Amino acid sequence: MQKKNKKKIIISDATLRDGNHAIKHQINRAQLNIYCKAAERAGVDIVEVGHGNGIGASSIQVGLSNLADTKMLEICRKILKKTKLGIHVIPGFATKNDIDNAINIGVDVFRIASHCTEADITQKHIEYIRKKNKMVLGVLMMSHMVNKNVLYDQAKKMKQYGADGLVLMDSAGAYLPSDVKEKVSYLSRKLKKFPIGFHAHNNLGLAIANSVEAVNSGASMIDGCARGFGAGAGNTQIEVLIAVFNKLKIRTNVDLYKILDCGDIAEKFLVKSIPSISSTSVVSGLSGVFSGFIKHVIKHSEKHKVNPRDVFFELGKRNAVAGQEDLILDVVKNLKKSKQNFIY
Amino acid sequence: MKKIRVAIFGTGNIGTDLLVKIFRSKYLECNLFSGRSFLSLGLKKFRAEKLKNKRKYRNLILSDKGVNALVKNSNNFDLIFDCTSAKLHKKNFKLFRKLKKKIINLTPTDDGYMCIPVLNLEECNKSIELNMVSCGAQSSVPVAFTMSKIFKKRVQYIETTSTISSKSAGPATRLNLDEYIYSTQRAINYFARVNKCKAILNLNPAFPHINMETTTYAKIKGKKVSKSELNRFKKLLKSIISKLRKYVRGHKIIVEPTLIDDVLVVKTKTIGAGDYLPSYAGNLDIINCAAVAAGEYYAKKK
Ligand SMILES: NC(=O)c1ccc[n+]([C@@H]2O[C@H](COP(=O)([O-])OP(=O)(O)OC[C@H]3O[C@@H](n4cnc5c(N)ncnc54)[C@H](OP(=O)(O)O)[C@@H]3O)[C@@H](O)[C@H]2O)c1
Repeated sequence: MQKKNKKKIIISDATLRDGNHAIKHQINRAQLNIYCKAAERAGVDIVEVGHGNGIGASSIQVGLSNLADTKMLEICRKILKKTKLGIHVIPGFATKNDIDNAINIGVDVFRIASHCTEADITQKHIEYIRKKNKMVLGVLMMSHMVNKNVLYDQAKKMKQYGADGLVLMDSAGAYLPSDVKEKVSYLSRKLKKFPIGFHAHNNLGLAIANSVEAVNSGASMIDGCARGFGAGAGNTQIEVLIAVFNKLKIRTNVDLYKILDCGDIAEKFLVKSIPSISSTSVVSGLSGVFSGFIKHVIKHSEKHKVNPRDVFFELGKRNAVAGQEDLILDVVKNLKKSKQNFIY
Repeated sequence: MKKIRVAIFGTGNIGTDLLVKIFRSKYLECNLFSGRSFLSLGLKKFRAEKLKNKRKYRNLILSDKGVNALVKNSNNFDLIFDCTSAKLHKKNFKLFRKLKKKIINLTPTDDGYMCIPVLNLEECNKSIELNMVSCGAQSSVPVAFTMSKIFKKRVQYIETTSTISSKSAGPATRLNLDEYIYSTQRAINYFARVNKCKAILNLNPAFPHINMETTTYAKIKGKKVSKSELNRFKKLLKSIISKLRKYVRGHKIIVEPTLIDDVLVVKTKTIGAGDYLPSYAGNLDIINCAAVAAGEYYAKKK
């Protein structure tokens, strides 16, 4: 059932952050420039920028950035006026020093993320940003792994630390619309006046449907990326999202034609290969494994001649979480070994 | 030989595991286990143990009076193991010094003499305060040190990622993530003499709980690493790790030194003795065994 949405939905564009996963964090100055201009013209509320895993994450472990965090933020800061500049922050990667740098450059929105059961690692970061009077959102990643009660407990903590709202991430693209409805409506009912956001991935072809369901269940912030630009199957395709929202009379600040332009610009200047739902993406969604793993899984599987689908299901069994990229090689080698044992 | 009497401050995961280990030591004897609440799992556990085995624990004072218990009972010990949080350690270490006690600090702060027993036990023994840095540093620094020993100035950058089970990371550890990163990086800077480095800590909620694992990378510039250099590296690393295994028995290499382009990778795993938490919590062991080794060395030299 469609509720009357009086308030405008906040649109957060993660093209320049989640999309960076898809090009191994190699985004360059010209790309940042051109896309920021387009997003600003389109009236996007927030543009998120940086390494795919957020500020402070450039590393051999998860991939080295082409540009330093501070460089990327400075470039975008110069362009964005009405549109807010946002960053993704994962404690354990990013420290207070990184946050201070971002504050100095003038970042407006800080999204402090943890795995869906580990909200307490965000306490210090959220409290710190709260004190600095910047907008701070708590982010629960891989939120498909736990039920609504656990999510509620974790969200409550983030609220207590001083977060202005909460974003649920379907990092593995594993949600069905019924899951969205159950979790988002529960959280928005229990956490009155605490804005809830939803960040979808498209592994099962449901990113748009899930985002619509989230709004109908009480979410007030939705993430998307131009052309769905993101790792693997990609994210919610932001131009399609706005089109569908328009048709459903869900109000936003975003101009349809201009966000369509964003898609075209992204395709022309940013996207190497337009995200599509490959067989591996489907398997990653089904097995509930972080989609950012795909490139690594494919690379190692090819090298060691094992089936990447097996690798995903095995990673799923081991409950692999983001940041555990080094586990992939282990799994691949083990699979290879067990295959050899089988042959001989 | 007369044992050195010690106090453990902090009754969480680290403090409790350490207490179990110290009760096995021939050189150390714990007389005071102080936290802030008898609801704390460590104090609860040892209150029950004490009731069961009065003789064994006759000298062990359990207290919920925190730092005040240390002041009050200061005649009962000569060495303090601080197992609280970095913030609390910063608040208290001046007081510890006033008590004129040797300090072994297990919280990630920047004071005291950094101690990685396999590398510098002798050298740091004279210092009044030893800094055990972090679990990640205890496992990555020996590797980083070996990298710099073999490849010297060609080591351009070192990076280390440790993954530990969520269950084994107490509230103090979770509040200490930044301090963990800073202090681990500081130790790599110092021991491997490399300016550019990065430490990452990952809490993994997977169930069954995962073992502590550490991956350490070095970017090596200049001429390509030759086979013989790699072999020299392997040999030195093996000997250092086998020395380390004398005090952390469950520590081992699980991905042998591998070269991927100009990046050298080594992965280690630490299986715990299962003293307090089950064996997956090797992160407790690697720092606690190091702390016990430092304490015992001090006892032997005293
Ligand atoms: N866990 C690891 O893997 C690991 C490895 C290496 C180093 N470390 C370091 O070791 C320290 C302890 O970590 P942990 O995991 O054991 O955390 P923890 O379980 O939270 O332990 C901290 C202990 O300190 C106590 N405490 C807090 N404030 C106190 C106060 N004012 N007075 C007296 N006691 C107080 C806590 O009491 P309550 O029990 O009543 O809360 C708790 O028992 C941290 O500094 C951490 O960074 C941890």
